[in-house]
Amino acid sequence: MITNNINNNKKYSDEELIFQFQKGNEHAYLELVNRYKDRLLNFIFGYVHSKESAEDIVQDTFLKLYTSADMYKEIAKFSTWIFTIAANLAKTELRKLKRRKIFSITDMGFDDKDYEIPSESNVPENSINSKYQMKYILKAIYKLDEPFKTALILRDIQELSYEEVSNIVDISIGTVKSRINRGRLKLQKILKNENK
Amino acid sequence: MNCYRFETLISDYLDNNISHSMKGEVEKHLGECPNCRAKLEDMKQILHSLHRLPKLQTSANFNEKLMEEIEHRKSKKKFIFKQFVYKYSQPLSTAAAVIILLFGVYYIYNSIFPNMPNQKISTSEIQNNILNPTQLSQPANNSINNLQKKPQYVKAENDDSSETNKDQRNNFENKIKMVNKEK
Repeated sequence: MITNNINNNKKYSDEELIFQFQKGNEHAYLELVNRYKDRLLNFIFGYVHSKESAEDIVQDTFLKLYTSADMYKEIAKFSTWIFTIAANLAKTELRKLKRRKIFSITDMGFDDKDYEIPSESNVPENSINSKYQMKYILKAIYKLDEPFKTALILRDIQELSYEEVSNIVDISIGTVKSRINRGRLKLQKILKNENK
Repeated sequence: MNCYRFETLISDYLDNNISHSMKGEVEKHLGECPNCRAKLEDMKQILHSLHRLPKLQTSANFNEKLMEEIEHRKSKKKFIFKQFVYKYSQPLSTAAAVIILLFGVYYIYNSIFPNMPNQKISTSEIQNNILNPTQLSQPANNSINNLQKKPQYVKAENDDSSETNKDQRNNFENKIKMVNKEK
């Protein structure tokens, strides 16, 4: 039983928290917000390329969670459900942007101000030396076509399972695997060209 | 296995999502093909970088802004409901009063003037009526006796062809007689 003091040691699952919120426990809702706000931000940033817009969409996602919590049933994992809501809102926002044709320079390209990247000196020495700088990897990801980019972000950055990706994007697991494989190969090709 | 086939399996191999026999084939090819070996190592580095990408963080006041918005929407809902009630209370109450009044009138009318039941007349009664119109059976309902008695057969208002009607009746009588004879 979740009490109002959410700082107890027991870690409740996401599904337990949403069920508690459905019964009226707002502390359970806040715990879910704390667990998912950053993950969703990074996920939606992949769509809109603007931290400000991404944060607005994350706010909308949690507002929708607040008003529509009763719609959650234990058919799918909570993470799948919340990521699906966020993805739909992000796509809606992208469609609006395309219709209005309002693109700032920040939105069109990669801007260091929107995305903080640790400098080379901050990278721990015992980490594997990657020949690809973070900045170029991000740029390369955003150059990918949308189906591959989404699959890659969900699988390789958000570290969701194939099944979760399949449910969020509403495609078969076979298609997920194919998109991830092709996305990775395309990413590799883009990075190779960038490095030349 | 060729290099093209290896490319289609590289992700499954890295994710360890491959059958034992297929894994053997891949590793055999890797032993023979330096290009594919280099490609695999390169892909490993890319995946490692992707997993270690620094993560964005939400603003410090994210939660505060969210709860403010929730409270704002809650109060907006109450406000909208109050506005609705205030704006439409008078017409709604008038409409409700009219409906109640209509129901009342309908109920009272039905109590005073209940519907008359339809009188079903059998074939034999028709026969009797044709031969002896005065012997037509009367409805048993006593309440009807309180009303002005209506004739069972009413002459059509615009019927000027009385001769034609008489002929038709005679023909019908003859037909009845023939049917009775056959029985």
